Amino acid sequence: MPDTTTTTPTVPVAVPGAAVATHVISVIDIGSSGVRMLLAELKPDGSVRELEDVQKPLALGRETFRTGTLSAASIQKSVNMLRQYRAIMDTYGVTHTRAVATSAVRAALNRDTFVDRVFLATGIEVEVIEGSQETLLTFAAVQRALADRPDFTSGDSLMFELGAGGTEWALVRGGDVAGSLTYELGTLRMRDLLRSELGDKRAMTRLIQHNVKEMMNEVKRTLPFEKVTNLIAIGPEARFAARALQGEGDLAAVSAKDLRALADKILGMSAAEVAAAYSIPTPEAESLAPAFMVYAELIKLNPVDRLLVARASIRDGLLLQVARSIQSGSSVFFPEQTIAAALNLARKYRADERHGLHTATLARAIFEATRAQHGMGEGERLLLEVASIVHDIGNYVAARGHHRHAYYLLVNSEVFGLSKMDLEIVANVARYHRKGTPQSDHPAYAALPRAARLTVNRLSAIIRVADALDKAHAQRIQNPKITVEEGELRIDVETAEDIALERLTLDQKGSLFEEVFGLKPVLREVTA
Amino acid sequence: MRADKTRFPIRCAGMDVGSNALRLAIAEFKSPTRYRILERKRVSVRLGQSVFKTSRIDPETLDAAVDAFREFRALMEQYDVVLHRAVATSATREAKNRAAFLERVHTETGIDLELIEGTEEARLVALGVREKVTLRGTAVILDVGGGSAELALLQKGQILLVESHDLGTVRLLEQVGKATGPKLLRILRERLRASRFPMLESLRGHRVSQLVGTGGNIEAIATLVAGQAKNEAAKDDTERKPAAVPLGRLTKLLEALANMEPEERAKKYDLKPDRADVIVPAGAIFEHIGKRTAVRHILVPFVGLVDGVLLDLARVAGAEGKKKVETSQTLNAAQAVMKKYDPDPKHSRHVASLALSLFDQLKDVHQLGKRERLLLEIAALLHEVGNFISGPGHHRHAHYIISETPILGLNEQEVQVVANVARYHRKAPPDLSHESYSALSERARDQVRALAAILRLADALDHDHRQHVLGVAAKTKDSQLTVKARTRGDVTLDEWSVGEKGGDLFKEEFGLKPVLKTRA
Amino acid sequence: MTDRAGNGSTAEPRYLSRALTWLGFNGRVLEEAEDPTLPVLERLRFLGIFFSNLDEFFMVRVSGLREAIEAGIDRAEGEEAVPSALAQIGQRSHGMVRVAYATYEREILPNLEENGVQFVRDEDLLAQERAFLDRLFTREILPILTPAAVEPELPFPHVTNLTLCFAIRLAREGVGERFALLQLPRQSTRWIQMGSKGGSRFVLLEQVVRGRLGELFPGHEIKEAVLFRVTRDADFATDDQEAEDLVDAVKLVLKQRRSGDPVRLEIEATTSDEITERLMAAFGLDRLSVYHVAGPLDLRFLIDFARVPSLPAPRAVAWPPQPVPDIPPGEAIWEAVAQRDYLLFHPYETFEPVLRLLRLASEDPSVLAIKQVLYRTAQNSEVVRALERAAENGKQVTALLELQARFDEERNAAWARRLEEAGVQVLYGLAGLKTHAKALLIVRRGPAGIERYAHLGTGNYNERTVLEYSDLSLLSSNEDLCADLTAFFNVVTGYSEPLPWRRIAMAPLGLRSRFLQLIRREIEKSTPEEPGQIRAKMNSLVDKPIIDALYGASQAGVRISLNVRGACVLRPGVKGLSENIRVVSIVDRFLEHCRIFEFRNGGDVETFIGSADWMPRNLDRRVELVFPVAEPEHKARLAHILDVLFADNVKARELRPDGTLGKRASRRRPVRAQEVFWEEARVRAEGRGESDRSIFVPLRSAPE
Repeated sequence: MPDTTTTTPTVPVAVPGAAVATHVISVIDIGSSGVRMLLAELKPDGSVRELEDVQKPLALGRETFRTGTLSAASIQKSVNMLRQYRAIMDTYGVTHTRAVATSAVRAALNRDTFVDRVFLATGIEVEVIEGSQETLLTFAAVQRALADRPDFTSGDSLMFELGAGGTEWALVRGGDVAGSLTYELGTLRMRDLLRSELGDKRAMTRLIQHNVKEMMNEVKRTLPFEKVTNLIAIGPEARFAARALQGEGDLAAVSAKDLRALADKILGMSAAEVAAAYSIPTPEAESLAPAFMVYAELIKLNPVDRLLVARASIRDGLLLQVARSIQSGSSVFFPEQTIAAALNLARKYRADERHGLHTATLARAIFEATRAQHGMGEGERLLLEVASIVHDIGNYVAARGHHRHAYYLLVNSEVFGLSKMDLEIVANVARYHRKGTPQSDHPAYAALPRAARLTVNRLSAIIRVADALDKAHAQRIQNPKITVEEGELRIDVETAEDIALERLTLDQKGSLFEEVFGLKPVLREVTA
Repeated sequence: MRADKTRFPIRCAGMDVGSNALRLAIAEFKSPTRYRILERKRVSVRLGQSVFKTSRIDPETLDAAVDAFREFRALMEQYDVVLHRAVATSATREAKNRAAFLERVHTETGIDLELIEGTEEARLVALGVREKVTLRGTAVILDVGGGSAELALLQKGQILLVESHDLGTVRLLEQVGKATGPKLLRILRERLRASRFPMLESLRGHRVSQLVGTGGNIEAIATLVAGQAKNEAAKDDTERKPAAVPLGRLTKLLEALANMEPEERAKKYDLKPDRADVIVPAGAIFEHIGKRTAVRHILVPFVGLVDGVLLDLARVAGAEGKKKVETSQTLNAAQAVMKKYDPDPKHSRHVASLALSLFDQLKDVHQLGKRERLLLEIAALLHEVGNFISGPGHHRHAHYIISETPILGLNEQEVQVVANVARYHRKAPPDLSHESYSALSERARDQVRALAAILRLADALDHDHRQHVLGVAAKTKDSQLTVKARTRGDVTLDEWSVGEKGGDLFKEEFGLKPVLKTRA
Repeated sequence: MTDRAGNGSTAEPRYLSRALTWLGFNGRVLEEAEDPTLPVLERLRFLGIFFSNLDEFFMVRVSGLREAIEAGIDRAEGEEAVPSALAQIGQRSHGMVRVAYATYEREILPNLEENGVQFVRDEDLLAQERAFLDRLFTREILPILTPAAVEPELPFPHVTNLTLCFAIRLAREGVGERFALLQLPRQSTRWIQMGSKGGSRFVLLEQVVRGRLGELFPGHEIKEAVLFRVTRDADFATDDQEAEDLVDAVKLVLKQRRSGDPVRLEIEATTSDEITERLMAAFGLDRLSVYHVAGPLDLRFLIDFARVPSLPAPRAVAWPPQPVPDIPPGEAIWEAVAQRDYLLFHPYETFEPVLRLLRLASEDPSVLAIKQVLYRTAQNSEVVRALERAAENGKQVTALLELQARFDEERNAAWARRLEEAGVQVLYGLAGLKTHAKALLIVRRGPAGIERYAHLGTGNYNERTVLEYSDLSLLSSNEDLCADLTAFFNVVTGYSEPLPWRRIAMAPLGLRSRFLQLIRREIEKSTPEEPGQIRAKMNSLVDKPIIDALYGASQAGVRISLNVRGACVLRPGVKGLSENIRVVSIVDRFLEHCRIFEFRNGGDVETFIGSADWMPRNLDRRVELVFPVAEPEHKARLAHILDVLFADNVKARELRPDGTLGKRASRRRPVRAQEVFWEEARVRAEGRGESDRSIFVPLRSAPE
């Protein structure tokens, strides 16, 4: 979850000369085709001024996606680059740094070694982030860049980044993210597919058409939208296309025809030639043609006549986030969008939406009332709300054991704004919303790091109470007054209705809460 | 227990281990469907109680159960029963020490006690019901046991969907705790309102023309409502005409019952003590479903699981023809699951037909039988369902969904085979390092590999999901399998995928390298 | 001539010969030397420049062409045939050399003598002078002389490139004739001033040696001793005078094998055929490559000689660099540059502000980093010292050196080490790319945040050339420009791959395409009523793609005025090809060095300055920077500069369709661009404001 635990503000370093008038932020993105850094200055008025934008090609992706690990050589190369970046950072006396690694490192079995080496050599703490977070960050950047565009905020926009390792999708409705997913098809896999077909243009096209169609079906299955009004592409290939096709501004429009033509042109050249001709790194050059063919297909498969290319990158998003956390102390991005995504998941599996939302409301109330006891932050609270909304989705598979099913469905889903670890926690909480409580002999639970297990315990305890309070799915417990007194969690509710079932269920399911917080939950009717 | 053609009449015994009692019924069949009950026995052993509390069958209960089987065994011998089948349901299913239980029953009585899914239970019940009453339009059968309640949805007598809920009477009592009187009933009703019945939701507008209730409780209620206070465990149950319990009457009775302590009920209505307490939660369930399905009355045919078991037995013994009926039912169920998860099943259906065609043409290569053919067809129909959860790893998701969504007509092992075949339709081939695969029996693993190999080939033939391969003719020549494909349009892609991905497992399994020859 | 080119343009090759137009330029330098209106020492200087240019030309250009022939490559598309080119080069060089020596002997030397500067002939030496020379010879020269005998059976001794060497015929009783070589020491100065009392009587080194050869060959009779000088194929792969395209391609193939081969033999006019043939055979040269010189060989020394302060002869009136009044003194320069951009025109305007900024930066505690490209920097330059100080003061200092910068290797290497020791991050450019851009970036932490100051120009950070080359430079804190420059340094220091630029254009990454695009745009916006206009100034114009684009533009009615100092392959004024293109070249006191590119752009004029010429080398194999000048005021000033340059009718020559340069007939009163610029600078310095800056220009539009 993008909250303070993941942002790692470094201690402001002593700056030569004048006192720190502004914050100097550096964000680093270790991608599958290059290592990039953006260094900017955060003015007191909140405006951000870019100072340095450096990037060097490094085909980490090609390595991990084939061999599954990062070679010593590549790790060394990365370390050397980051040493240089570090030098730049030191020049400016950077006050806040955030470094993330994406798919390439994520996919590497020896990712920890990588992270560690980098830290030891440069003092830069690299955080390996998930696809959904990438989308989140990029979206943040794009949204900021496009905030003033009505055609973007009205109607459904599909935003995607065709990365090397996979494609990130986000549905944007009314300027908010209504859902997202990661699809395993990336330019690298695409290129490997094409290798076997090189020469046979027709077969290649067919292959791409097929894969893109499958991807689009998946997108339609997962993201709830009627008609796409904008198709927005993000990423180096897209930006390249925009540049090559003389696109201008923050949203360059390119047509399928031009894209195909460009693809053909590039297919006619060797990667090296392309790299030379357009002065771009070779790894990037290799992914261009397939990417453009994919774009063209996507345009064909959607009711749009052109592809919009957003200039913003994940780094802009990181910058935004660090800036946020400096200014507001909080960096949970778009909780609303995350909730929206959770609701979509609940709908997809026909879960009782009203019950989910009400459980969330109650859970939040309990969470707030017991901050002193659990000391958790808004990041965890977001997880709790998400878990509350989706805790019943398991019923779709089968009523029996639906808590287990919920776990399975969740760990295999994408929820916008949540990392894999976040989802693991949510899934466990959903799994423990009924039946057995967390036990160290449950593999899925035991596999979690200790901190996460504690979070699961606390949140499960809360969600069980919240769920019990709406046992009848009738939302009868409305704005209860929740207080902690004399070892009790007192839930006072004014209601004419009979809440015997709730109280009874609470008696049965409240035990975990008592274990975890040492508070006995009691439901009390206070007659108005 | 497959038997070759048997001459009728034939004597069969059916046994059912519920959470409340063990039942035996011995009958003589004049034909696969016409039968006469010779003997009925009901031994009250509350497996449920201990299981739902401790999730184990405590030693005393276990001994009691085994004793009951000894008794049954003796009776069967008296009646020289030729065929028998014993099934155990939810209570046993959930007992951690079930294996020990089955084991003891087998070693001490020679009876092969078979663990069945709630859905299989529902199917058997439905079989029994259909023999007794004719079902029109959309019918729902509700069987309430101590540990679970089974729902079956039938269309013109054909079973479409079955659904199992852990809403057993004993279980419910455990949950409501010490509540009594009107409060007890209220809590029960709430509890029910809270639980979800996807099957009923899936009806969407289709109105249910009949609600059929089975199980001791509803029969007792029917008896009470009919005012004929006679012991429900009478031998001539089969002679009893089906009764209809008006919902209004049910509710009245239910409230009356709820207002008394179990002892009172037992006295006033002449109920056995083990009935007197569970009858209230049971009634509540029937009431709830009755309301949900908006029927005027509940039809009680006075048949139960045992009758289903018996009929099934007879059918097995009977003509193969009958088998088809079931097969088609099993397929219906599979299709229902497919539709639930796969909005556009064109591909799956096509792959299924290609797979079957390959299966039939390669009989001497794989030497598998009808049953495997069925499993292959189902696996093919369901191999894409995982996509609903997500594209990445959808083969694993398919495995999960299938093994968690029991398909009636398939026993647990068969479900596992189907799940694995679907799982191996792409990506890594079967490997003992895969738990769900290594957990299978030797034989099951053989089936999985063979069927997966065929499925992969079939899937490869429609890799672009355009159904361009219309049909196939498979010829084996030394170490090569030539697949002649009748196609429309262009199939480069399929050739590619047959060569690249479809073939490897097949070659490994059958030592034949598949080669695609197309003619448009 | 012009007619022939006009109607016969089809017969004419599409492009001019690079070599010949370059010779034309050197001819212009010679013209200056011939100009009797110039002070004699100024003429001396030009003569020296003429010869040093010519040497370089032979070492690279001519050798290249010779190799082309040997490689069997004849002509490239639309080019002069190589053999005929060589022939013409031969003829014209011979001609020019003759003229040069005639000028030297008949005009300059007498003129010097009138002014009391005298090169004394042996017979005119005074006794004590001869004694002085004897001592000098035995003490200082003799020890470093080593004659080499030439034996028929041994290989001919190696004669170093461009060094003076005696060929000597010796005879001895009985033994018969022998042949020997004697190279003169390279280091020692050519001229020797006689008399301690600072008189202006001089003799040349070879003269001193020649008279005393006997001491080297005791017992021999010196039958003949003549001076000669051999010019060799010099392997300056990426040097200024490097051969282009076709020739270049060949060079790459033959470099190793061919490098060092003789291409020219200069020899005293008096030399006997015997020695001449011997040497020709020894060096494998034909008659065309042999230059019989009527006078001292190798007159390059005149450049330095003209600088000798004690000479009583008249010199040109000094044009000292003028201060720039609107740049405030001292520290205030920070604030000033933060406020606005300053366009400087050197050497008319002083380079001091740039050096001051650098000096201040090196001391200012709030300065975080300094990054600079140092190309051909004078050794011990103030620039280098500033960088050293900065590093010592703990700043991030990055210096990109260009070691390939010709003749500077040894020096660079030396102070490069010093910089490194001081803690400067010294980089030596990108592999295969010479960094020709001139750029300085200073990063400073001000009270309101990070401040960046940029200095970009057309000239090198070299205090000497800054006084002799005419260059433009811009002091700016413009956000986009600084961002680009930051990125630029990240690229050249290998910290980052290139990213899309905000404003600048960089070679070799798409600079050519940027120019082509600008030319295309000019064509698109050009209408009969409002014809497009391109005005550009550069040192050389040889890039075929750009030239073709210009031809296209000309045919589309775009008016094109080019100010090209040196080689120009574009053939101007040819009907149906380039009638709307005119090319002029200016040779005057200051070496014309700035590059300006102005595009009318349908009225919304865009003007660029930078380091790049329109040559394949600059566009493909060099790191060059070209950037737009944003301030309207500065655009206007550049337009004015171009106006003046194209108005010049004194030092400017027009390139004719046949590739020759001709004086520009003009009925107007004389306009000498460099003089105008200096006057203007002076006027501004005296604070007479900018209003009357252009008083010295006849009219805004260039005259026909």
